[in-house]
This record gives sequence, structure tokens and C-alpha cells, in this order.
Amino acid sequence: MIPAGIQAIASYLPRGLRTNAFWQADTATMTSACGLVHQDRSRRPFDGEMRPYLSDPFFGAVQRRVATAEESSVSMGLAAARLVLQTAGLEPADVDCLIAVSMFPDRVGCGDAAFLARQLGHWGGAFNLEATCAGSVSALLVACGLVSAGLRSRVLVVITALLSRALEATAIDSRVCGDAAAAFLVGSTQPGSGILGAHTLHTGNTCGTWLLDAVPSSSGADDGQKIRLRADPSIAHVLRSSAEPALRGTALAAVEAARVSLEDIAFFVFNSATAWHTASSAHALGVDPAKTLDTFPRYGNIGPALMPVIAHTAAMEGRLRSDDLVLLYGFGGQAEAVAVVLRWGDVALGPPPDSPTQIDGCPI
Amino acid sequence: MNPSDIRETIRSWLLSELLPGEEPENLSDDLNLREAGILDSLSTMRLVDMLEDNFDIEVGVDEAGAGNFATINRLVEYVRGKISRRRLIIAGCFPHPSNDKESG
Repeated sequence: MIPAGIQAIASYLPRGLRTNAFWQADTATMTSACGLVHQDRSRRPFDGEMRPYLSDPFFGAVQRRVATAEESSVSMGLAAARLVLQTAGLEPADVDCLIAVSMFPDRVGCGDAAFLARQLGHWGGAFNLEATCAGSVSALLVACGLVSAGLRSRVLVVITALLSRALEATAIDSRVCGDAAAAFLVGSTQPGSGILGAHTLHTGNTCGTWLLDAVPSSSGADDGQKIRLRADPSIAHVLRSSAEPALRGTALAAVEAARVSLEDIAFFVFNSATAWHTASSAHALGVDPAKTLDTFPRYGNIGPALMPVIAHTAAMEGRLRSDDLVLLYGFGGQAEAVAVVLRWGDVALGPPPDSPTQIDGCPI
Repeated sequence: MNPSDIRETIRSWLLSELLPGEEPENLSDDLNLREAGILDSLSTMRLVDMLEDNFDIEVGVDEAGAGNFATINRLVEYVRGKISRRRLIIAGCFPHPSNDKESG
């Protein structure tokens, strides 16, 4: 087996900034849920950290980056891909496989892989991987598997979260979600670094919580139709009930597979899909919250881009260092939960994200 | 607890917490609470907590969907079933849920 891991990583945040003022006219009628959830956290451990945010119509969200009218899933993914190649000092020809994780692509029924490859000038293979919000961690596993088996030498993984176009602006979920893209290169690493262990569990008990259909669109990037994403009323209950078992079930098994202990892990990249997920996850595993980074206040829930954006940000801020053992976690509703333990290694880091050019639709 | 007590507890909670000011006769036991917009993701979570606290049951991760939480009648049947099952578990006729619970 060839040791495999992340060689370079970069993030691209779209040029629009959406603050809570975007919804200001609707604030008076917004749903919140003060005075609920059990005081007894033994029933559902995540409830303790969730409770303080339920009286806030924005559930702790402060701001999120959103795609401008000129941006699309492909343009954002392309920007992230070019950044990571530039960071690594590589050309598209140095990559022999591209994996695209798009949630959601610019068209109905087909992901972004070939569209990205064509515009990038990449001549190797390209395919799409769909594991909802866990897609980036699932793709990391697949890419490492290809490299470890000697089937590919360097894999470019491109992740795009374009949730602002899939969610109706009036939907509760849109208040906590944002857009982002990221890319990382997977290749051979030094022995003892890269992926050391992993574990996955399906999330079949969340099936039916997210409802997808195709609706007319006027964005211009999507052939007149787009994917619409809506949540079933059971979603909050399902997610709070499944979060802790999925995290513990995968993380503890991944640590065991890596033949290390939780105490050996220097940094944890959790699925920060809400204002309380990072703290809840640290509590559920009994680890020090100082070993985490919560990007939710900056970007909101960015779906599959959470893992690479958090890891990239933590590494840029010096929180995640080359010798560190890190646990990367992803939770994909109606897909799988994934935990990966790897030694971070000498990962080349893309630049900090550019500042936004619009705030709530107005040029800065 | 008999079915009428379960029904009254659920109806009272819906009227006081989610439909303040609504006339009780306007809330039909067959009204689809999800399609009517009464149960969204947050109010469903609140209803789960109320059922668990009042009836000493645990609503499973996949039990708060359209099958059980559509109407008051369905909710009453669901709670009755959970209470009956709990009694059978206590009597040793069923394995404890922790022994057959799906992970993840």
C-alpha cells in the first residue's frame, strides 16, 4: 500500500456576503422556538448546546457568503481548483483524476466533473461523487484509496456548496446556509503520514428528511431548471437524534482503525452545520473544544465544503500543524457519516479567501 | 392512560402552544398538521419533547415523519402503541430498544 494523504488545499469563498439584515423585513414573523427541548441532556446530548440558539430567528447564524449572479457551481469550483494547483506549483496535466462533489451543480441530473475538467484543461478521468454533506470526506477516502492502490498518482478533489440557489430564501434553512468551494490534491505521502484509519456508517435513518425536486430557474447557468431543496418537518428531530450516535460510531472506530486514541488527536474538524455542532461534537467525544475550529459564525453551514474550508482555515491560522494527528468528520443526511484519522503532513496551503464585493446584493 | 386522555393532552398542547387564540372546534382530529403548516421542523421537535415528557416514551429517530405525525388521530395511535410496547418491554415480552437500536 502506498501511503496517501492531502498534498495541498485551498478554499474559494464567493463574492457575496449575506448578513441577517437581508431578512430584516421578515424578522417579526420569523419562527423561533424558545422554551423547548429537554433539560435532561442524557436523552439527546446535542440538545444542551442547541437550546440557547432556539430563541434566535437565525439560530446563531451571523453571516454567510453567497454566490453573486455572475458565479456558478462550476465557476466557484474552477476557482478553487486553480488555486490549489497554483499553490502546489502543478499544472492540470500533473493530475490524473478529478473527483467533483457538487451540492448542487448548475444543472439537473449531472454533476460538475466533466465541466470542470474541460474548462481546467485536464485530460485525465473525471467523475462525480455524491454523498450529500459528507461528500468531501467520502471523496478524500476514495481518492486515497485510488492512490494507495497505485491506480492513480494524483487526484484533484473539487467541492462546491451552492445552497443559496437550491433553498428558497424564505425557508428557515436558508438563514443558516451559505455557499463555498474548496479543492485539495491527494497523492502519495511519507510513510506514517496521510490516512491512518477511517470508518463510515450509512445514515439511512435520515432518509426522507431532505426533499429534492426540479423547478424552473432564471439564473442563466442552469438550462432553465434547477434543483430545489426543502426540509421535511421531521428534520430537526432526526438530525438531533442521529448526530451523536453517528459521530461516536464513526470517530471511535476510525481512531481504533488508526491504532491511536482520542487523546492522541491534536485537532478535530467537525461537521459545523449549526452554531452548536462544534461544541456538541467536542462534548459528545469528551475532547477539548480548544482542539476545534468553528467556522459557522463566518460562513454558516456550507455543506460538503465544511471539512476542507475548516481544515484549510485551521492550518492557515496555525491551529493545525504538519505533525498533527487530525480527525476529519463529515455527516451526510441520506448518505453516510465518515470519520478519517490522518497525520496532516506538509500540506501546501492556498491563500486566504478574497473579501466580498457585495453585501446583501449591493456592491461594496 | 386511555386514548381520550392522550387525545386531550395533544389537542390542548397544539392549541395552547402552536395555535393560540384558535377555537378548539376548528382543529379537526383528521386535519393534516404538516400540510396545514402547523408542524414545521421546530414545532415538530417541540411536539416530540412534549410527547416524551408527558407519556414517558422515546420518539425514535425515524418516527416523527408523515406516518405518525400527520394528524391528531395518527398521533394518538402512535402514542398508544409506544405505551403498549413499553409495557411489554417491562414485562419482558420484547427486547429493550437499546438492544436492537439501529446505529448512525
